[in-house]
Amino acid sequence: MTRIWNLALAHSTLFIFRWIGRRNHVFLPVYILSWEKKINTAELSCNADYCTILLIVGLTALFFDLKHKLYFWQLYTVIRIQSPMSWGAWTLMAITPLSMVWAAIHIREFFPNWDWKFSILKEIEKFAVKYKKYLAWIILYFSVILGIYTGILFSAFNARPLWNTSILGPLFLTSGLSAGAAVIILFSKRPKKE
Amino acid sequence: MEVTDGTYPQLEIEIRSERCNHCENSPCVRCCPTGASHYEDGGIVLVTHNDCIGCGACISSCPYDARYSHPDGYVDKCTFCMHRVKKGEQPACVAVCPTKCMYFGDLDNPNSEVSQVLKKRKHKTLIPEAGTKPHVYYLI
Repeated sequence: MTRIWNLALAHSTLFIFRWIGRRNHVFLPVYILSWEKKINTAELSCNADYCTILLIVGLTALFFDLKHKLYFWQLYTVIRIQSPMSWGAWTLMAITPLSMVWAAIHIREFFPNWDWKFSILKEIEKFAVKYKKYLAWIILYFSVILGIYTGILFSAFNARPLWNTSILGPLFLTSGLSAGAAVIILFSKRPKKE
Repeated sequence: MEVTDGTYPQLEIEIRSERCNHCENSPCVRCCPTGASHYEDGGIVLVTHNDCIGCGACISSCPYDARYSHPDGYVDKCTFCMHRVKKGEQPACVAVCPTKCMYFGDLDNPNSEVSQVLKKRKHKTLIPEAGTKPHVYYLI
């Protein structure tokens, strides 16, 4: 029987990506709407920091799942439209630094006295805060791709009949959306009762 | 590979040697994120070892389970003995077969031995429903 990935590692990692993708699907539209003052987000905290940490954990796990680790950089020498894993690799390459920036501009919600020390970092933070709404939109688009690509990746394997179905992408998207919403509710700050 | 078919006492046993089918529409080539899996001139599917990251997408996508992880990390498979074919020799399995039951050649050339055999003999491919258009044919 051929090894079909280390199920425990690969699937839990891909689940993390789906969850992060969906958490962003839910969180960022709420954030963008709140920017437009259409809804009140007092109950939402910016839980961006642990999202970034989980993203890095997921990437690290995927790296360790590779069997030819020292050649991982070959992923970034080519863009292969037909390969969903190539999309995923490039999406992760884009969303990881953007997610770090997003986490960085919200770090004072976790550490109120945080100081960036260097003026250039302060300038970058100022720039990111100024264009925060655009950043949110960009991350949102990438999160949709990140969320759906795992489903497309599995559905592209015509060797596995139960995976080779067009429903897998939307299925991953909807299952993760509910998980993302649940996690936001779980970790959101609620106003103290008077 | 030994496959038993039918209902007792009408049983049939087929013994066949399986390898990479060097498909025309290879899912392994399509799924490869780095382009390590590729078609050589003539249609043989190969893996460039130094481009392979060992992600295993091709192993999962192959309907024939023809690929495996080499102990050195990269994914490996039957190459149809490309090093021999380039020199005009037959693949090792064809060359050493004691009953000469295997044929290898250019399917694009209608006069080649392999094309002539396929014209004259009934044959089948494995898992044709996968749509991979395999280039290994089994004579019935």
